[in-house]
Order: sequence, then C-alpha cells, then structure tokens
Amino acid sequence: MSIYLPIAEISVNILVLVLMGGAVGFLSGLFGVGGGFLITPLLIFYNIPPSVAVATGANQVIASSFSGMLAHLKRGTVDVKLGLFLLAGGVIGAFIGTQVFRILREQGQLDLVVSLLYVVFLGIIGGLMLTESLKALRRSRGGKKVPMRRAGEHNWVHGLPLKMRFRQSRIFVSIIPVIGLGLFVGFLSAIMGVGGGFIMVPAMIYLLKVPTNVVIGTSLFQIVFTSAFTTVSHAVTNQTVDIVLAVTLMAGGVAGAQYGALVGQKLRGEQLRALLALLVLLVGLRLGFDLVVTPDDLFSVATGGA
Amino acid sequence: MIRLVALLIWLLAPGIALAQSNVPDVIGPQPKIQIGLSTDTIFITSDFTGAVLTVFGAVTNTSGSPEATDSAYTIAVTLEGPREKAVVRKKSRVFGIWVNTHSEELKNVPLSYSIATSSRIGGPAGNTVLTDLGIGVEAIAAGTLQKEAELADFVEALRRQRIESGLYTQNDDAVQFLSGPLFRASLSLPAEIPVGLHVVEAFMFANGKLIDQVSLPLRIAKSDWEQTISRAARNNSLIYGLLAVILAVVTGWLGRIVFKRD
Repeated sequence: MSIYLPIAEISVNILVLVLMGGAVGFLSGLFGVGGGFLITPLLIFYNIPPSVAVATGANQVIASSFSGMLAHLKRGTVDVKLGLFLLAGGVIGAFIGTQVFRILREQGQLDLVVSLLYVVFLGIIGGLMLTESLKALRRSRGGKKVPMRRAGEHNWVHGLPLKMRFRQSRIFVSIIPVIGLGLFVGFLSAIMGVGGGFIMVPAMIYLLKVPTNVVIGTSLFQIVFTSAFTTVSHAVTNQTVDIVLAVTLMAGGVAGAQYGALVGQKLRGEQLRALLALLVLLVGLRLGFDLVVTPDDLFSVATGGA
Repeated sequence: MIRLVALLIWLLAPGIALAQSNVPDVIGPQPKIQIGLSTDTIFITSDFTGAVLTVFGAVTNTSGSPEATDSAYTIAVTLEGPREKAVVRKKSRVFGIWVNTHSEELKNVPLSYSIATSSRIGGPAGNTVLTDLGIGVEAIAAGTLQKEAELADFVEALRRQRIESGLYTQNDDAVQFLSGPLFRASLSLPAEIPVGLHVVEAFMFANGKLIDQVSLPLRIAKSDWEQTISRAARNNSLIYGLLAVILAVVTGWLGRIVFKRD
C-alpha cells in the first residue's frame, strides 16, 4: 500500500513507514531515548531527501517527547526554571541551525554535512556506550555491584559568573553553560532532526551536576519546546516538513514506545545498552560507507529552490 | 476559412476521436496547422502513474490530395513543462569522501518535455533543423552550450537524468495521419509530471523547412489533498508549521491516553 508524501514528493510504502516508526519507537521506549538519531538516518536510507528527513525528524521527536514529558510533569520531576533557561538557548540555537541548514541546502552541501554529522556523532556515542556497557558487563559478571557515578564534586563550570539557583535541581550554577548547552542542542536539533537527549542528559549530569531524577524530565521538557520551534522554523524557512510522513512515523512510534518500555523493564540494562551501542555504530558505519563508495552518478540535479 | 477540425484530448485511453469536421471547400494559399485540446486543465491525482496524451490536429489549406498530405509534411508536436532554473552538481573525491565540488546553474530549463514526430527524425525535418529551432530533447539547454561549451557534461547529465526518469521523451513515428489532413499525436505524460502551465506546440515542416506552428496552453494540476498540503506548506508556511506541531502534540498525548503506563 503506497502513500504519496507531498513534501518529499515520492511515493513510499505506508507499512514500511509505520514499521520503521514502530521499530524506532520500540527502541526509544526500550532504552529511554528519543529515537530522532535513528529515524533520520533510516529515512535517508529509504530515499527520503535528507532535507525532508531532518525537518520531519524534528517534528516526529515532539510526539515521542511530549508523552514522556507529561509523565514527568505529573511526577514532579521537571525543573521548569532550568528547562526554560535551556530552552532560551535552544531557540537561539535552532534559529541559527535553520539558517545554516538553508545556506547548506542552497550550496548543495546539506546532504553531505548531515551525513558527516551523523557519522561523527553516532560513532562517538556508539563507541562510548559500547565501551561503557562492556565494562559494566564485565564488572557485574565479577559479582560486584555497579556503582552509579555520584554527582556532587565541583568542576570548572562552577567557576563561571552569573550564577543562579535552581531549586528543584538543588544546584547553584552559572547560566552561561546552561544557555550554551541549550544552544548547542538546539543547533543540532535543526541540522540533524534529533531531540538531542543523548547529549543533553550526560551534559546535565556531568557538567551541571543535576540530580538524575530530574534530568530526564527536564531534558524532555526542553526537547519538546525546542523541537516545536525547530519544526516551525523549518516549515517557514525551508518548507521541508512533511506532515504526512511525520504523522505516519508518529503513529508507529507512539505505539512502539509503549511496548519497548514494557520489554525494557524485564531486560538487563548493560546488555541492552551494548545492543543499542552496536545498532548506533552500525547505522553510523552505513552512512559513512555511502560517503566513501563511488556513487553511480556523479551528477545530481536540483530544481528551483531545492 | 477553415475551422478547427478535431479538438480532442484523450487521457489514459487510446480512444478514437469523433471528429466533427468541416470539410474544406476553399483552398487557401498557405498550408496551416491546427491542433485542439478538449480541456485547458488536466487534473491528476497523486497516484498518477503516467499516461499518454493524445492531441488531434489537422493540416489545412493543403493544395494536394488528402493522400498526399502524409508524405508532404512532417509534423512535430511537443508538450513542454514549466521552465525553471536547474542546478546541476558534480561530485568528486575530497579526502576519500564524495563531495559536490562543481555546480552549474542552467536557466530556463523545462521541467518536462515530450516530443512526437510524424516520421523518423533525420527525414525531411532533420535533427539539426529541429535543434536549430529549439525543438527536441537535444535542443534543451543548447543555448547555454553555445555560450559555454565546457558545460556540456552538466547539460548532458541533466538530459540523461530526466530521460531516465521519463520527464524527457522523444517518440518518432508518434504522429499519425488518420485520413487526409487529420493527424493524431501521442505524447507521454510521465508519472512525475510537474504541475503548472505547460505548452502544447505543433510544428509543420515541408522539405526540411518550418512552414507553420501553433501553440496552446495546458495547465496540469493536482486535485487531491496531497496537493492541498504541499500548497499550504508553500503559501501558509507558518500555519503549516504550527499545525505540524499541534499534530505531533496531539499524537503524543493520545499515545499517553491509549497506553497509560503510570
């Protein structure tokens, strides 16, 4: 059963899209990640133009993050004040990112830059996760309990000026790294179509020393609003948001996420993380391979603004 | 004078035209070509997989017998899509990675182009005659080449890709004389035919010379909801973006209600 995507301007199989959304949703529920960094490369593999894959990815991220954010708001594990400062940076970053996206697209270098960024980020994150989870696996096999890293020691971030107290997170920190972090993640959101949780969460824990119980909720809070801004920004600047594609992915994604979360509760964390790391590395490798292998046709034609 | 003879356009069906003809009884001095379309707009749906567009026409004011018309004249009928600039980029290897390193902008290139001729090109109206007049796939962007010959690779790539995707087609012997001065031209409408204002043009040649030409506008429009969406994305981009966000929020919220897990 095929469906025509009005913005991507191609006909695709609707079942493949729903399954793709469902599979990524399942993974995101399983591992507690947004899934944006998997959906965008998958769409590119499925011949969706990268410009549409990225902008639509940002749109799709809203749905998966929004339901998560609601749950955290209910539990009271969102630091709204911290979230708003992150968001302020995020909006600026997303705005800059959208403009850079437009310029790259006009220059014909967008596809390359998107692929390169994915190869680099997927490589780093996959590599770090794999080594970390393998270490944890080895340690737990030795019978010792895996110690969680304690947040608390101060680092260079705490020497910066413009400090502010964030009650919910019980931290007293300069707003410079907070806004900077938001800006960086907002920029990536616009260029890569990701929520950015994979950077936001570790950065909040290790740099800002935010207690782990509020990290996920606050990160989701900022992701929802930054992705919303990114989506509108892309729609206005680049007209590359495909609503039909987004809704199809979301439908699969939201359902998949619920089952993923159920399964996730029964499986062991370290093994799961090792699996996800392998998957992330694999996707990165495939993208990298496409950059290196000689293309069938060296020429490409773009019409009008595209 | 002679009125238009058969003005019918046939989509998807290789139908037979019921020509309501007014037989010429006055022989004019100069032969003329006439074509007609039954509609000025074709609506296609997004599951459109391509079709054959049949254009009917007639050669009028001929002095010879009806049987002689076929052999005396060469007809070419074209359907040209909207013209837009095209950017052709070429990749080359930079530090082991394939990067778009060269790009050339070709102005005013038709997005689609279909030509049907009545006899093999190379006959009375030879290939060069056509190209010189700007007719035929070979003539597309040829003007650019005359100025800058080094663009040949880029122009060639543009034509090749559009021929491969069916946007540019050339069909010899696709104009057939039915009886006497009546003819039928079959043009291909590719699946990915661009929407917008197209032009149907007919050219008549005798002894390798262009004698007459005529053109008619033809609008191609998509009529369904997908088209509404893409139009909204272009014309009301802010509202479109906000709607995309609301849809995502509602989907996320519904997901939470349907699969309540906390």
